[in-house]
Amino acid sequence: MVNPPDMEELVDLHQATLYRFALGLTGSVHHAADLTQQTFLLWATKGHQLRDGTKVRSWLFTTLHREFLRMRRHEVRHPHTDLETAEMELPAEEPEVWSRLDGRTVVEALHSVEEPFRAPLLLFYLEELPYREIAEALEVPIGTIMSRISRGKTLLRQHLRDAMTERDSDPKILKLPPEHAQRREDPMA
Amino acid sequence: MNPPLASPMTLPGARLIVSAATTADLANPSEELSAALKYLRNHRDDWTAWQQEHQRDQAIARTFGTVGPPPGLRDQILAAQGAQHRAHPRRRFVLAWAAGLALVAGSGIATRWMLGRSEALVAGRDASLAAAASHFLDREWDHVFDHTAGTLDDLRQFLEREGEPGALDPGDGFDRLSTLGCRRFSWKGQVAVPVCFRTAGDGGIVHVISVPRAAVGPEAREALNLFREGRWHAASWTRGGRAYVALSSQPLDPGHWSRTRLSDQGVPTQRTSQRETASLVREALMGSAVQEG
Repeated sequence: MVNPPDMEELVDLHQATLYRFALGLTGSVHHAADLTQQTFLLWATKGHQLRDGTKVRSWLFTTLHREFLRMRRHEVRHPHTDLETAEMELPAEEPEVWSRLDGRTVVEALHSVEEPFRAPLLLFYLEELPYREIAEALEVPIGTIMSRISRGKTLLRQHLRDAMTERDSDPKILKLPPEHAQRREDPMA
Repeated sequence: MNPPLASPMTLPGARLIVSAATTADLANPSEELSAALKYLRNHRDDWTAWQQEHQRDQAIARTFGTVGPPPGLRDQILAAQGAQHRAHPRRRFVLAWAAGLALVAGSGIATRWMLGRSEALVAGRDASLAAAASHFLDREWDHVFDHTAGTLDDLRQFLEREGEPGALDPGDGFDRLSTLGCRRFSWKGQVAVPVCFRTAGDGGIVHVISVPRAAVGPEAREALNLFREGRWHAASWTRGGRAYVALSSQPLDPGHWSRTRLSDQGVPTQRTSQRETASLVREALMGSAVQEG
């Protein structure tokens, strides 16, 4: 049994990851921040009910995902248009191998993945949880999670290709590496 | 949780397991994942494809990992949590207050209920109809009628509809008095019906309570009996199958007024009007009442 960390420590440990998860789910900086904050507030009020301190991370992801679903149900009932992608404050470039990918493109591509696949895929790329815990966090059978991750990766690659193709048409942006641009068929699909 | 794929390992199964494996999985592979990796390694093209896929995934994850929360989110979260935390004592205080209040109110209600119930039992078992009626009027009646009507006949019709026919025949004289309404209560398992009469002259109120004669028992007397019951001036009599008690805040004995007038000469019409109440009641009783007790 591990005791759960205090609030400040918890926020320092998980806020960035949770925020990324929320950003991928919502596609909105503001909604992502709200969801992240709401998740920690829920922890402050209900977290003491969690007996096993090793489950804190899963609990946070589960809670955030539930809140997202709740928020989305509310928005379906009360739809509003709040396009704010232009306001996203994302790092400009990833300087290493895949230097042509940038944070905004990845987030937008992840957000474009259809919903059943999006949450598992986000958790996959957050690299925090093994797939067994992803299944627990999202309250979905593990076999379903594996399928959704695999399928989601295929969809993400398509979205990224589309995004990079658009960028290729922009003379201010560097061209795709040949191996990335040519890889249309996915052997794992 | 059971492995999703059964042995023996197949190529699509191995692809699926390996493809879904996260960095955390690969860092500490399960038996199932190890088997899938081993299986895939024996299929060169698939292994190569997965290695490329894995590199892409790592690049995507790295890029995704560079996305940070907006500046100030951490402080915002902690501030909100702090505000919530500070709000808790107030909420707890309010809740404690509410709980305490509810406890006191509950205790009061329970005590009142117990007291009322014990008194009601006393009145019901041991006290006379007059005592029970007095208790009802003083302690339990909320001044709401089951039925309001201006005449006794209207009240009779209401009681007949309610399954209490013949409950109101206190005497012919009462038919001339205007009524306010009736309200029922239980006494010794019987329905007691108090009716409020208003006398015409001074507007005084007389409460007449009717119960089945059998409920009163052998002590029921046909003769008019005048007495005091607590703060009430009371009269009791029987008529037909019913026993009646009249309660009024004013004396029901006309002789009382005669004596008062003698000692208090020349006075006042108010007393004269009070006397009127007594006279009217007495007059109302004349048809049935036989004699004073």
